[in-house]
Amino acid sequence: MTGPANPKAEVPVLSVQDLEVVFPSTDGDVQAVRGVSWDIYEGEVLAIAGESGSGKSVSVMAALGLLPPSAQVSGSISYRGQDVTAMADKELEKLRGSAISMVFQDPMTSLNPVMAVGAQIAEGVRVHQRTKTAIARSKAVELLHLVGIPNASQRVDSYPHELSGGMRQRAMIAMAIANDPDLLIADEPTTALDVTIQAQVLDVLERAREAAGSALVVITHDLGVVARTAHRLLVMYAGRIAETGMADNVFERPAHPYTAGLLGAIPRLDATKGTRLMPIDGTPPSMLAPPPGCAFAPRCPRATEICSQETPELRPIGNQLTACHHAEDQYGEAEDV
Amino acid sequence: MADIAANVFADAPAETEVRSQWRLVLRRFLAHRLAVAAGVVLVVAYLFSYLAEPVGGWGYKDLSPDLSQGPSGDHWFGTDTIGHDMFAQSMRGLRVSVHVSLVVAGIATVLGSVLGAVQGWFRGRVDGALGLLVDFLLILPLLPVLMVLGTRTRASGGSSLMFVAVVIGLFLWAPLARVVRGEVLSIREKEYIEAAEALGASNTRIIFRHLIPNAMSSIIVYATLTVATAILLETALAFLGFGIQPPEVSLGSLVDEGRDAARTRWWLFYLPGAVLVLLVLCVNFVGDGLRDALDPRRDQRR
Repeated sequence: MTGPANPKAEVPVLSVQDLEVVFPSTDGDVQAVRGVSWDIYEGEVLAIAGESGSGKSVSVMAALGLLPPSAQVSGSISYRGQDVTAMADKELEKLRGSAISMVFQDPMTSLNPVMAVGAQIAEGVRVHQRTKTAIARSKAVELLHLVGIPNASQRVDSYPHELSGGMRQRAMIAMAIANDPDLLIADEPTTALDVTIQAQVLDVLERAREAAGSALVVITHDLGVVARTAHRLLVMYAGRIAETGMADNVFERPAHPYTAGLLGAIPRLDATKGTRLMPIDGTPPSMLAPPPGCAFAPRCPRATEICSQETPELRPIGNQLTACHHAEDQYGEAEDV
Repeated sequence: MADIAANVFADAPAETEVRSQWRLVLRRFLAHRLAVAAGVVLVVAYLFSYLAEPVGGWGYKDLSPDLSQGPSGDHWFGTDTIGHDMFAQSMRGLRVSVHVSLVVAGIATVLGSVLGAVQGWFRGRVDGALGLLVDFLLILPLLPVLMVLGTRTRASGGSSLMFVAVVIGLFLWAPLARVVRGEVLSIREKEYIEAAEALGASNTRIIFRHLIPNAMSSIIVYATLTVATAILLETALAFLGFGIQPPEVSLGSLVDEGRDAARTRWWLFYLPGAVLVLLVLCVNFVGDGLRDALDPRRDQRR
């Protein structure tokens, strides 16, 4: 793994080791996550990127113990050295919302429609701190103000349907930082929002993170979001890590053909006129029976025989870690560009 | 950072007056004319039942010298064979029926909502066990069971009004529990429940703060239906001679006593019967209005 952003913090806030998650289904076992390890350190912003079904959400839901009971989880997840997977429900409840908190994808459906937003934020405070209702309420006003909701002292009494999408997402962020969490997890925080609001919400998220002094994991399929916020980037494909490293390095010189493909598929302002966007052909493999070897091989322009036989291990290439047999070639080519 | 903050605040909409939720509910309810009218009739009728004696001039236990008379200026609803003033009796009956039905609906609604929500939230064995109990209560022929209980209490020296109400209440929660369970099974999959879990809310908190409030519109509709059912059930019991014992009266016992006279002395049967029908109808209209008014998902401008 790459080193911590803040070298003083030696124990990671959250450490995921060899995580595997399997969902039994009538058609067989769905292998959602197949051996993933990562750490996040204090004050750091980690982005987990990948397309739908790559296991990015599942790996953090496991950290909060929020997977359905049918899910089979192996490997270890520890919060400041305590094993989360071994915790009893009561302990987990204490952890959730206070030490580890979450911003959900869709602000339209993630707020209780029959509770005023202020009451929902205050609830988060009162679950973890024994405070009077009035104090929790003024804290809610303060938080709404912090996330940039105008007229906060009146907006606390608004119901979710009276707020716009961007405002609701701000309210969700306010809720998430109500107890100054150590770790904030944002699961596709901007996906459900209007493009014009996305940047603002990302700013609010960053400000909220600073205010709460927490580490942040952003789960996204939008590399634009990553470019804006992340210190460190982890690209997942088919339940495994394809590439990870400091975000700037990975953006500069991707060493995995999949990362390169993703970057080639987004429009850039600095591209020369007439450059075409390059889509990645094919579709992700079925997680019921993932192909042997490298899961990306069937779609990979660099694939050779070894790719469909041997699973590539993560190994250092340049300044990052890449799981590809042809990483050197890719990395070398990136240099030429 | 400062210019980012300025940017962030830039999308603030013009200040709008934030309406308080209760004013909104009240306004929506008031917009529902039939419900308002029904509510007014209910309240007025209930309060008036206390004034029946001073205004009408007769108490419900009083025996007047006028026997079997039709409605007149003195006896608005006429009198029965032994000289009871039927207006005083009907008003007393109204009051008793309202009290009984409110207690019944209260017990049934609380039990039904909580147990239904517990079933839907925990699922598995808890759901199975409670589900069996619900099924059992649903297949019980209610009237015979209540009649048996009624005879027992009569044997032990008269049944109190509240005893009848509590017993009926303990039998009527099952259908509501089923409705709430179904609602909760769908609500529990909503993202805001997952969000509440992710923020560390306990089971109790999720049930009482998130699940039940979101099922509230069904619960309210069902509670009003239960009020109506309870009035009718108490009536049926009284009609069969169980439950309330003389000299206490309820609308049911009045209708029961008057039924033989329906053709000859119509006022003994039809007038208390009309009060009963009006009462149940009003309760249902109020229920309709409440359901529409309490649902915050409805357009706020209505």
